[in-house]
Amino acid sequence: MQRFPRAVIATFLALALIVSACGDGDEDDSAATTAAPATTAAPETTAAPETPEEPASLLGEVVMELPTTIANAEQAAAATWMLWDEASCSFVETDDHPDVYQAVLRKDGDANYRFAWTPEDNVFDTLIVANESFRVAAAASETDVTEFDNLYPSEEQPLVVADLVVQHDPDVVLSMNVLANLNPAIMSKYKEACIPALAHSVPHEGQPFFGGGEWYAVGRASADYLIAVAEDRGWTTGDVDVLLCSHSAFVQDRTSPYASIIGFREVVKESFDVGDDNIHELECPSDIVTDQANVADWLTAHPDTQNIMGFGINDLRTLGMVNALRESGRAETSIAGGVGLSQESVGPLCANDPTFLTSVDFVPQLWGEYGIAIAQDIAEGNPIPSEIYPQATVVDAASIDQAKC
Amino acid sequence: MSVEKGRVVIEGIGLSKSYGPITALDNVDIEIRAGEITALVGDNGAGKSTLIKILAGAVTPDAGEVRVNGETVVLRTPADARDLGIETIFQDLALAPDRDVVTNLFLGREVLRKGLAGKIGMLDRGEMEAQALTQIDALGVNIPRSTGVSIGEMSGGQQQSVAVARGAFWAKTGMFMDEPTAALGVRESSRVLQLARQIAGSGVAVVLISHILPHVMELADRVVVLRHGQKVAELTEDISMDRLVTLIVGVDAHEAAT
Amino acid sequence: MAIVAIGIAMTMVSPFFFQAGNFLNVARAVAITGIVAAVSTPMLISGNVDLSVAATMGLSGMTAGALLVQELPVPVAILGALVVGLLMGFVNGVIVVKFRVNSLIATIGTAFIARGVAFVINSGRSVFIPAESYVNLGQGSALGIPKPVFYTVVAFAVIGFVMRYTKVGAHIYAVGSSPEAARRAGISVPKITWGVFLASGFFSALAGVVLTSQAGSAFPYGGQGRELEIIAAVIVGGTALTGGRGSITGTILGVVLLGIIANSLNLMGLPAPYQDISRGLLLVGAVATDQLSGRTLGGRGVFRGLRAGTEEA
Ligand SMILES: Nc1ncnc2c1ncn2[C@@H]1O[C@H](COP(=O)(O)OP(=O)(O)OP(=O)(O)O)[C@@H](O)[C@H]1O
Ligand SMILES: [Mg+2]
Repeated sequence: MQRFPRAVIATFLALALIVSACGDGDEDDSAATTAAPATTAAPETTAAPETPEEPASLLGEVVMELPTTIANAEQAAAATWMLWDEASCSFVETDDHPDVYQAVLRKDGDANYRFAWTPEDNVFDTLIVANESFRVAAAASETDVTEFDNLYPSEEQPLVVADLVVQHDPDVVLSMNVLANLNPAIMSKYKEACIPALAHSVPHEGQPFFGGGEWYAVGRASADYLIAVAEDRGWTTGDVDVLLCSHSAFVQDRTSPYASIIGFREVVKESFDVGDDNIHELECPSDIVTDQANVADWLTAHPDTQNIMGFGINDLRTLGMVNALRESGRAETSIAGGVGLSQESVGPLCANDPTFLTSVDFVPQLWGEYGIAIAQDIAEGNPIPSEIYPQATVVDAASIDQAKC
Repeated sequence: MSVEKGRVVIEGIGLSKSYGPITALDNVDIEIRAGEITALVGDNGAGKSTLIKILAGAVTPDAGEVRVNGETVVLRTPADARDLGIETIFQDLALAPDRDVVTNLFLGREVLRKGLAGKIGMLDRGEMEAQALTQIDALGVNIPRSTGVSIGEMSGGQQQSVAVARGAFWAKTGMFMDEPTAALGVRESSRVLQLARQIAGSGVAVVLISHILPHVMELADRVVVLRHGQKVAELTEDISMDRLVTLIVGVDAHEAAT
Repeated sequence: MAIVAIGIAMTMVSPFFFQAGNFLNVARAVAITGIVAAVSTPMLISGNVDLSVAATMGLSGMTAGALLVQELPVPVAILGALVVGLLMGFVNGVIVVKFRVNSLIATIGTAFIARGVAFVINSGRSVFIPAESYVNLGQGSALGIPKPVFYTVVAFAVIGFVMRYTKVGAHIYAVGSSPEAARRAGISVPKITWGVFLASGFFSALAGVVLTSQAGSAFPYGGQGRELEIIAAVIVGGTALTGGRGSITGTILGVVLLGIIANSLNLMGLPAPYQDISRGLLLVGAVATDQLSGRTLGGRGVFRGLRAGTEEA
């Protein structure tokens, strides 16, 4: 049931995009300067790119150092590297690679690469920013990047898009299809057409993966932050209950946003010694008010809780949870974190809310730079790690970009 | 209030109506008299319903005029006719099946409370119930007296009685009944026809459309025969079955048959 | 009856059910659905259905949010939201009355459009509401009762009064029972239909305002999915989808019953899929019982005694 009518507007936007994709480069340039993504919230570990008002200065900068954000140390060590093998039309593993991967966006020059980017849609907050970042980075690098909208949650459009992409015959496709069941069909179309595909959001066997957010790390980072606050306030393990606002619609594995819940849970157990009995996973359908109602009901059924540490799978759910905590008079004895740095967290963070303390930024405004740079490497036959994630950053009232307020 | 029996209260003069190539009504004159039952007979498609729909304001004629109590009137909607005291019981009753007798009796003509409450549209349910029960008693019709029972739960005859009671309640000048007994059994038919008599007795001009000629002969003070949209006869006496059939079917057909 | 039975059952499984605080939980949880369920009752009684109510909530909420971000005064934002709601009702009315499109189809169409526009308003992003006085309309309590509940009570009172005691109400019932009979009785079916759609738009927009003020955020998919929940509550309350029959009393019971079910399953810690299952069972069960016995939850069944003498239908 989630977000279905977005398909309507997505259709209009897709039409608009097709029109603008057929237009000349001038349009892209103007789009780049008018709708500049915020970049000051870029991960600390990366060199912050210049303001997009001067897109040319993006060039040559190290925008990404990897594998710095792979889930954990073992995973980092175990990460395989792969490169595109034109002869076999597949990615092959290689041991011949540098220690650190740096995705560096560069000018297209004489390469004349053509890339395709197939976003989930063009209406979701994060994706609007991400799609814009692709346009900006394409303009900056003078690379030919065409966007094909998968019109989430359409079950047909991703397959239509795959056919369109095959016809378009790009050098690399960045395939962001979030409907896992469609992925094998899509990937086999690309393989058949001998187009290297970088899987985004849903990994695919034998294919390099560019994760939008590393959910597991997101949950862990948020837990680390909130535990520090709890310790600061003198809370002890015995008087803390952890509330997790999730939704049963999410697949409970590491590639889905649910991984943030897994990560959060692990950290509060490891670092704060909270027992399973004091970790409660609530159903939050993401309607803020309904989430609030569900949390309120839970609080009623657990009148003896003292301090509450809350985490929502996205900012909306966290806001609903925070509303319930406040209305039950627990604003001062609760702390909560969200995910996504959308308006629902920007507002409370800017307002110094006593309960809603943090959110995690996925830096969608950098996906374009990262994605195109990785695509350039694939096209050139350079080795890349099999899993690449942008650094997700925990943002709080002190560190939030004041321009967002 | 009561009009002298036999006075012409509703007149149609030169009424014509065509539906595309079909002439439903062709230059028909008709006079309907207070206190009388005028029967309207004719074969299927003869134009009977069209005629009373014109007189009831449900159909606008192509030509001709309607007079009520001697004055020319323009009937744009059934409401115009109703305002002149003319009620129609259509073939399909036009009742709201989910509503009770009281609500149906006052449908579209609800009684409002006095003062401010009435200004904001508040109903005077008590007054409506009292009036409805008085009317039901006066007509002696067999309708459950309890309010709150929806019409749809009543028998066909009872529903017909409600429609007739409603017509009788509001009819001051004329009441048109289009095949009121078509769906009814013998007992219920005679009950409805009795009501028609009763209503005419109170000085209302009643028009009855019926294919059941014995009913017509038994009840009607006057019979108007339509054929192919034209008025072919108006009889007040010597109304025999044979004569009616001949008039209805037409001489040509009659001869052809013999 | 049913509510009492469920209440007893719930108190047995969860000791927290029968607590004043918990009833306030239920009241707050059903407040927004209640406002729209209230107006959906005359909608269904009139023989129409409005599936655009949830999208109207989202659109009007986004409108209010967008106006507030422009630092316009709170009353202007609310007025803007309500005007958008009336506009939705007007457009639905045009499509249903003038173009004679079945209301189900018409409002599925306008729901898509409204939802799309709600996304366009702020490019799909939510609007965090900066105006404290706006947020205070929906957050917190007054006289110990969560504020959203007051709007719901007003909606039920106004619509209940109109349906039970006024001529307009009687005409809405008549139009739903038999449009032809109503027309011949001199009732303007287009006017009634249009009026019902305008009211639906208005109260949906009001619900959108309450939703966004309670949430503290306007989000383009606000209210999404609630339309079915709302219709379920109205139907469980004994209103006929075919028009002509139903009552506000029944709808209140339907809304509260669905709210209690969600609340008690939450108290027991049962996950959401079970709530959906119970909701579905209740809906199907209520309608099937209605069909079999001719009795309805709010109609002539167990609650009749409460309403003797003023029975609407
Ligand atoms: N709305 C209409 N559109 C087209 N033709 C019509 C319409 N109403 C009536 N007619 C035609 O006009 C003619 C007269 O119809 P009318 O209903 O007046 O006949 P009637 O005498 O009442 O017949 P019946 O005994 O079958 O009720 C018929 O040929 C009918 O088909
Ligand atoms: Mg006829």
